[in-house]
Amino acid sequence: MSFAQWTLVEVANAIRDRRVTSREVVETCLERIAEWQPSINAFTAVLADSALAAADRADAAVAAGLPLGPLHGVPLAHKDMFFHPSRRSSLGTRVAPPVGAADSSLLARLDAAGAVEIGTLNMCEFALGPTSHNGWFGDCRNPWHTDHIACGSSSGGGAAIAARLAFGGFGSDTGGSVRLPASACGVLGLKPTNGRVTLAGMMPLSPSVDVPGIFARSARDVARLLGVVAGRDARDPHSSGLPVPDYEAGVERGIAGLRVGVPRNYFLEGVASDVAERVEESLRVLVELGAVRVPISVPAPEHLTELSRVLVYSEAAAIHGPWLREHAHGYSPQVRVRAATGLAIPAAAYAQAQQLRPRILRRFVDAVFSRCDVLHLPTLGIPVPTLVETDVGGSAVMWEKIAVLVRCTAPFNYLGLPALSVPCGFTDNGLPTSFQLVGRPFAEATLLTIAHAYDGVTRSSRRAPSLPA
Amino acid sequence: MLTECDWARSCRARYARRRMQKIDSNCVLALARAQGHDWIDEAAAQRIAAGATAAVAAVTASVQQFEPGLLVADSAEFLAILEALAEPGT
Repeated sequence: MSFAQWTLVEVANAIRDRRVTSREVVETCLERIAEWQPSINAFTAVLADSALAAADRADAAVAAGLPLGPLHGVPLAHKDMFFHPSRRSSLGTRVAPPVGAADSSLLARLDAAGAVEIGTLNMCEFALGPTSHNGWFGDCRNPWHTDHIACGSSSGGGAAIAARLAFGGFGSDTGGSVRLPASACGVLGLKPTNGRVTLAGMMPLSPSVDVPGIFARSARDVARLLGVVAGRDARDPHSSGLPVPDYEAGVERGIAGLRVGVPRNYFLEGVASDVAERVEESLRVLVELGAVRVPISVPAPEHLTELSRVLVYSEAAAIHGPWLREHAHGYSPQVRVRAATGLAIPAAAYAQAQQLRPRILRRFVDAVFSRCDVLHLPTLGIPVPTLVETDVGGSAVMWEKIAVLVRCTAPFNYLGLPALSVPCGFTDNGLPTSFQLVGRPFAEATLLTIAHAYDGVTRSSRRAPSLPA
Repeated sequence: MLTECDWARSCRARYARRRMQKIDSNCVLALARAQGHDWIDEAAAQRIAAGATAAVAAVTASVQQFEPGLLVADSAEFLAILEALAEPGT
């Protein structure tokens, strides 16, 4: 097996143990990018020269016996919206306004851990969109079937990590933008608790809802990446100072006795039968591993997505307003309309949505997590659709199409809760599907423990797509 | 004859209906012009109106789920609430 198929932790250990060099790993990823990019268009830029130079520095450090970080020499790739002093982020558009933001704290933490950045990943324009259409850089396509979307807005993250073009990466999740592409492409996708990971130096879409998220191919890989970037950042006043657990050590704890809540209402309504079957099968595996199934009535879930939209569109309109006013036709039709929706949301409604947020969160946590440790539900309730089916632009069916895609993800952005998408097989159209675990605030370790136990039995995240003919 | 209870329920229902009126495209166009967004045409205004109406309706419905009163929570406390509700042992 090529080491491109290894997990992030396996390749990091191999570099550390001198079984492989960082240069060999980076060169393999670059070769795979060259093969795959024409089919799936996962990258906006490939940073070959700087990645190879960083790999050589990493190998020199290994040879010199220097202290090595937990990601030493490992190639990663991230959504093209984390600011870096050496380049200009595209933000998924070619008409981006000048952004005077500071450099990304998250990228700085990854650099300090020894990671090698191999490229920047395709995304929906300004991170506004759950499909993988992009009129500027070209659509990102699903590596399992290139007629289908990779979902979005962190489209390239799902596609590139699934196709083994990098060993992990970061996107942003404001309504499902990491979990949806992770599910569509068959990798793990974590939306951490709001405040767990710094926002400093990441393009804002809606700062009170945004959170950086992780793509990887195993729970242990997610744990390692989260451990590197989590924790208080003096540059982000909304980052949490709660201690960061040893996520990686925690994945081995086992799940005997953990209570897995299955929603009785809302989240399973309208779910396609083949998605529901895979999700139910995953639940049976968890029960066989010792988890306890608990039916749960979720309090008032039907408004959570729209409440999230009030925050997202109001803040997006505030951020984009001045640029949009002068350059509206530089935006694609759907993004233009969605960014402007906040212009028509009354300020009082925005303030109420903010003020309700802690009350609704408290009610939700009290009602749900007093009876179970995690919620278990689909990530995407339908089989992954095609690019054609979802190419609705700014048409009248736009809201309806978006609502179907984010139905099971956006509620948890409003609540700020951690959520992990875990691959659990394939639907009848041959595309991946996933279940989603949602925990109480800062319960990422519990989610990762369950995902690790599940993957240990099913190896569901180890299947890789084949290069299209 | 309405009982006091029926009357209160009927008032609440009428109040809710009144508050759930749609934001229409004319309203959007007026707000857009007031904010200098002259690019918004009738078609865009209709899409924006649909999105804004659904969003505002959700706020109205959610407010009604709680006891009547002033909304005095400080939204800046959201992180503190998340931390307070964290998994024990975190």
